[in-house]
Amino acid sequence: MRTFGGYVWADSPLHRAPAAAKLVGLVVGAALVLAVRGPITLAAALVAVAVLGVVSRVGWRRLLAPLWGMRWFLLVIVALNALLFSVSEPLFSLGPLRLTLPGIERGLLIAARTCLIVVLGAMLTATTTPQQVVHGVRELLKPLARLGVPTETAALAVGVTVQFVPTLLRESRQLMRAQELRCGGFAARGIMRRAVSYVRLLVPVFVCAVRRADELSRAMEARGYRVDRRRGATGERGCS
Amino acid sequence: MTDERIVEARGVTHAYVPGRPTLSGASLDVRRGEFVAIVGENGSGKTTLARHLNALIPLQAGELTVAGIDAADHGRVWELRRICGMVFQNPENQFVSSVVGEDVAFGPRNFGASEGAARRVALEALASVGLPGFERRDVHELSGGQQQRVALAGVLASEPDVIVLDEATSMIDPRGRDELVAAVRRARVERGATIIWITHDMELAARADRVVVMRAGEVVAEGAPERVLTDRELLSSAGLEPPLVVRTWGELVRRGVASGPAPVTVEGLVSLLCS
Repeated sequence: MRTFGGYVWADSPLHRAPAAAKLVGLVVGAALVLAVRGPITLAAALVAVAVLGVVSRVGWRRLLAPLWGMRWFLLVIVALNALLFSVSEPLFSLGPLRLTLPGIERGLLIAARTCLIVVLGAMLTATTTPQQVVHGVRELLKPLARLGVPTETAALAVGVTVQFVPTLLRESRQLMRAQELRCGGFAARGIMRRAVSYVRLLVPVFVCAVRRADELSRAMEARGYRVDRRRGATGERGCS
Repeated sequence: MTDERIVEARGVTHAYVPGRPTLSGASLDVRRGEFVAIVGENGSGKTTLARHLNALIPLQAGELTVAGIDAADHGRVWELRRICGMVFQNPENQFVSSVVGEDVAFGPRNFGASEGAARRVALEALASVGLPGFERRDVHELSGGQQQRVALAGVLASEPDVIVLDEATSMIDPRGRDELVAAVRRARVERGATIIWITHDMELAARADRVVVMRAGEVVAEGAPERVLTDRELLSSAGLEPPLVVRTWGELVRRGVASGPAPVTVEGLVSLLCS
């Protein structure tokens, strides 16, 4: 089993399922997770995601990896809810901050919902290649074409975005390494220093993305692409 | 190669920033089937001229026709783009699909080919660049040379008369460069395509029928590689260096080991040394 970008080469029922069905499944799954209210439904959702995880044969390390990257974000969600949700008697208070039990519960519930949705998303990207995702989006958008919605353009935009992800990730990693070598930015301890390093990374990554988009748009124009294209509009010399 | 002029540029001028022209009255004629290398230092206007050939930027001043189509005629821009295909520097920035076959079929589809015809010409184009059976592969799995050949196949699939390569070998390794050069040669022989190759690679330029030197937005010299690439003064004034073979020959002449006009290719050097 090897990985390319987010996809994990393996053979499982989830790998074999149509991309469109998986995309719909992700949306439905996310909606059900958002509907989770109490510990029983949360436990049921956890079991369902765990079963899907086992069926996917992707491996828990890969499925849970995005959560490690989000750990500070999740911590902030729990802390904000725990300290600012002031409906009941506080367990502890310090100025405007009031730590309450319902606040902690609410924070943990929101964090758990976020984790479940992220794991479902990781499951989709791990079992579906970028081109299958694009194909799935195209299939799902097809009915809208009858209403005059430019579905081909939308599918192309999704495809181009998806296929740029590995390139931009690679560029981001190179920039991170370059920053680490020069100022130890990402290896530095302390949330603030790391946050500053990430902000510093955003500008060159954004510039790279814009430059690539500009070059791609030129390449697409050079190959005859136009949003309002009419088939056969270039005259008698069709490619036949 | 015929005497018919397929590209005719007269006094083409272009300024991205008003008052600071990147192209200052560049003129160029290219014959059908010819292989022309355009060389010059960065900022000499090579890429801007190439973009005009494909009507990617509007003509500000001067005249430019490709296969009789006026680049200033907005109504025929797409016809011109079908006749004059372009391969860019970075292969990764040219792909619209991560699936090789899908990407190669993109051009023909845009130019009005049916789905079946687009697939057929895409497969033919992939075979002609030496990548048969690659249609289902992911472009990110390929080497730089293979990616650039896929980009070339994407252009060939639209059956252009002129292929412009804008520093297409600058981001790939020597092996990839050789693969791309071989694929372009095949396209020239099999399809009779006219090749305009913008490059900093003097060894590559030495293989062209004609070398055009650009400096500060103008064409300052053109001629056979044997004449242009051995003119050290001219090349130096354009911020360029002669090919390694020419420099080596110059050193041999200086040491009294060799004499006569310098060869511009390794094959020429070997031939002279052996004789």
